[in-house]
Order: sequence, then C-alpha cells, then structure tokens
Amino acid sequence: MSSTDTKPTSVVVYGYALASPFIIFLSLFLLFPLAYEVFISLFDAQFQFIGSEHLRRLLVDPAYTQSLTNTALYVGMGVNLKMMLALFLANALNAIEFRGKRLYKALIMIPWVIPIVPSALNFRWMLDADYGIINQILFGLGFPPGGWLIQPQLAMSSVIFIHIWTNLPFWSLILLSGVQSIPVDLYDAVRVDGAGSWHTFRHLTVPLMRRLYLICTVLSTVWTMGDFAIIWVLTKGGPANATQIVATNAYRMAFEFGDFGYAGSMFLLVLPILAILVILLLKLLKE
Amino acid sequence: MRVTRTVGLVLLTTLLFIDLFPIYLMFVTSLTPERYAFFPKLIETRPSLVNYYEGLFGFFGGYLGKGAFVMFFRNSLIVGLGVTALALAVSIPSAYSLARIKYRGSRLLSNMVLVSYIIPYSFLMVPIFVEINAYGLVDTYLGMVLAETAFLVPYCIWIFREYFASIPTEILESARVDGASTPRIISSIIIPLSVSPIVALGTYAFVSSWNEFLLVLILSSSADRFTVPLGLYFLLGGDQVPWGMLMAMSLMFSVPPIVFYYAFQKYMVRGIMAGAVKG
Repeated sequence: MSSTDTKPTSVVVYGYALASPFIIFLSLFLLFPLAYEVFISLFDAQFQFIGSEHLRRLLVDPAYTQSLTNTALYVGMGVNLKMMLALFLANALNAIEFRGKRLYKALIMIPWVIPIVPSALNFRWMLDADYGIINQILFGLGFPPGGWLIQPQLAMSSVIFIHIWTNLPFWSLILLSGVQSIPVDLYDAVRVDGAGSWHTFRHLTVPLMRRLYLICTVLSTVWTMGDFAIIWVLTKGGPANATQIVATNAYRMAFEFGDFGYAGSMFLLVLPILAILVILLLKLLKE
Repeated sequence: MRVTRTVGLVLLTTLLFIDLFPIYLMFVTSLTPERYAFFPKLIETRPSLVNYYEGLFGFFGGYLGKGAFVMFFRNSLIVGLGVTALALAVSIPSAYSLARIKYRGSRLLSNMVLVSYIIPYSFLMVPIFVEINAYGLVDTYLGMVLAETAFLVPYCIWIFREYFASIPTEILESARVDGASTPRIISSIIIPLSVSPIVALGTYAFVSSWNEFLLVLILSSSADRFTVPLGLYFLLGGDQVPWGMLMAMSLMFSVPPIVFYYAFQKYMVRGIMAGAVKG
C-alpha cells in the first residue's frame, strides 16, 4: 500500500477529510451510544440520579438472572451445535462426490437467504400447538403432540433449533471454503499412507481448520448474543420467561415499561463479556 | 469407504429435507382458500391466490385500511434505496482514505471499522432510540435510513478497502502527475474501476435494510411508516391470525433477497471471513 499524496500536512488533512463520513457515523451510532448507555444507567425512570443502584438491583432481579442463564444456554447450545453441524456439512460436501452437488449447495442456502421475520412466522405457524402441522403429523403417526412454543421446557429447544436452521448455511459455506483451501496433495499423501476417512479428518482436517473454526465460533457467539428478532417473533421471551434473553428482556423494560436506565444497565452488565470476545477475535484475526 | 459415503449421503439428504420442508409448507399455506383457523395440509387440493390478492388490495379495517401491504412494500423500498445510496456515499471515500492514504490514526480507524462491524447493535437499542428521538426523527424514513446505514457502513468499508488497495499504484500516480485532485481520482478512476463491488455492496445494503426488524420496530410508531417485516409482525398481534395471507406476503417479501443472493452469491458470504479463510 502506498500513499498517493506527498506533503505530510495535506496527507493528514485529506485522510481525515475523506474518512469523515465514517467518523461521523462512528461517533453518532457507536461511541456516543456506548457512552450514553453508561450515563443513562445511573438514572432511574424519573431521571433522578441513583448511581450504581441499577447494577445492584440487577443482581437480585430473578427475571434478569434468568435472562442471563437463558442467553448462556441459547448462545452456548445454538452456536456450538451449529458449528459442529457446519463442520460436518463442509467436510461431507468436500469429501463426497455426487451428481447435482452444485444444485445441492445452492438449495441448502435458502434458509439463510429468506428474511428472518418470514421464517420465524412460518415456524410459529408450523409449531402451533392446536393447528400446527408438526403436531398433526405427530398425532397421525401416533405420537403425543407437544406445546413446542408454549411449554417452558420445549420452547428453548425450539428457539435454538430455529436459530440453527437459519444460520447453519452461512457458517457451512465459510467452513467449506476453509476445507477447500487445504491442498489436495496433503489429502493424497495421507491416503497413500493408508489412512481412513476418520483418520484423515482427525489428523489433517482438524489441526488445519482449528483457527478458522475458532474464529467462526467466537464471531458467531458475539452475533448470537445480539439476536433479537427470532425470539421476539416466536415467543416474545415466553412462556413465563423461559426464552427471555438479555436483549428481549431489555427491550421490554425500555419500550413496554419505559425504564430506559434499567434497560441500559442490563446491556452494560453483559458488555465486558462482549468486549473480551471482540478483543479475542481481533487477536485471532491478526495472527 | 463405501459405508462412509452412504452414511454421508443419507445425512446430507436429511439435512436438505429439513431445510426445504418448512419453505414448502409456507408455499402450501399461502395457497389456502380459508382465511382463519384452518388445519394446514401437506398438499392443497383447492389452491387459490386469494391470500395474495387480499394481502395486497384487501381491506384491513380501521387502523390499517385498504391495501396495507402495498404501503409496507413501498416503505421497504424507500428505506432500502435510501440506505443503499447513503451507505455507498459514506463508505467509498472513507474506504479510499483507509486504503490509499497513510496518516496518524488510520490504523486505529481501520480497527474501529472492524469493531463496529462485529458489535451487535441490539446492545445499543436504548441509546439509538433516545438519539433518533432527540433529533425528532422517530417515525420518519430519514431516522430509519440513518440508523440502518450506520450499521452497514463498516462491512462496506471493509470490502471496499481491500478492493481499493489492490488497484495498481501506477494508475493513480499517473493521474496525480496529470494534476488530478483526490476527489477527481475517486470519481473518474476508482469508481469506474469498482463497478462490481459497488453493485454487490449496494445489493448487500439493500437486502440488509429490506430484512431489518429491530431498528424499524423501535424507530417507527405508526403503521404508515412500517416496512414489510413490521407489517407482518403487526398482523400477528390480532385476535385471529390470517396465516394464509401472512405466508403469501412473506413469500412475496422473500423474492428480492433470494434473487439478489443467487445473482451475487460470491460477494454475499465474505467480509472479514475472506481474510480468515486465506490464512
């Protein structure tokens, strides 16, 4: 990379002048909001200064602590199951030759391409306890129907399933491009040594894919922590807070109960975890 | 070897079925002639387009009136085009600055691009609402366009930066010798050379805005500013949910993203992962 401007002062001025649209957006929609989130968490709903009172209240608020464990469960299960499946899919698509592979690769992307609100609505209809087709099929086959979105124990599993359904294609494609970048010679060399497919996977694919897999997992963890639409459209965090995650809980606090300070502090308490993950990710990407 | 292959193919087929079955059902539901409270079928024996017609031109009663979805589609289009134009206008000069000019602070700015791309904006929903509200822009197209653009710009800058950095220095130097200023270089050399990333990122910005839910949810307060996802979500709240019509509108709404995805496939799944995959 070389500079096209030569005089030092004009370089700096030009650099910043051209980057100013980004700097303005960055200040208005990232830096200022972050600072404001800290600021507003110090005030109550009537805008009276209360200091760290919100943080203390959060720690003993059962709805909030439940939203923390729910988020951990949703993110932990959702991301890891999704990544393991994506790794399987990427390897299978790389290793197995079959007719129509290009078409297959195009078709499995559809859940990711369809916008999230239509998908979530569709699943809500399919999983409806009274009219849903899934329960009809189960009933027809002689199995008991389930309250997929209205039974606390089932609702979280349903939501995690739909998260995986929507996002699996994207991560499979990323991991597939990683698997494909492993030189074919290496596979041949291992195969000449008489290694089976499991052996090849264990001693060739796993060590070479480790870094990419880790990057994808951390990035997906950060993004999944920010999920909102899937859960809001499917369950609104119900039944009885069983799928209430931090984002949906804070949305209700802010926009249904009007307590912006308390809602802001809900995010603030999770922000350090997010910051650590972002730093880890930047380190991994620079390696 | 043969056993592994068979097991692999069975699993791949199962996965494809799980992926496509819900989409198929969406399509069948959209063809149902009944409006409310019907049992969905695997095959619709009396297919009808009434849900498509009702959704676009039907009467929704008091709050929504006639032809509600035509209005929602129009809003989605207006916001989407606004976001596309603004995102390109902001990210092209910024990416040029980060790719071609070295100055104190440019590395920090590049890192900020990456950080703002990674951070999920739902964490900032409260301050964003407060800010847009303070400017008096709640329930306006401009408010939605500004907020949505802010979160698309980092990705666009990232890709443009990579692309601009790969343009040979000699081309820019010779223009410089001929006395062209930086804005002129951008408009007469960089932009004509970057047609394909501009089209791809413009499409990316449009589709992202088209699909956006949370920002429109917090930044719109009346139905005349709802985009399609909000319209769909709003109808879910009634006493009886018109599932056939919701699925018909959902499918129509999904057509542009599907078309754009398959047209620009190779640009859609990249971003910071491009660098990660290479390494």
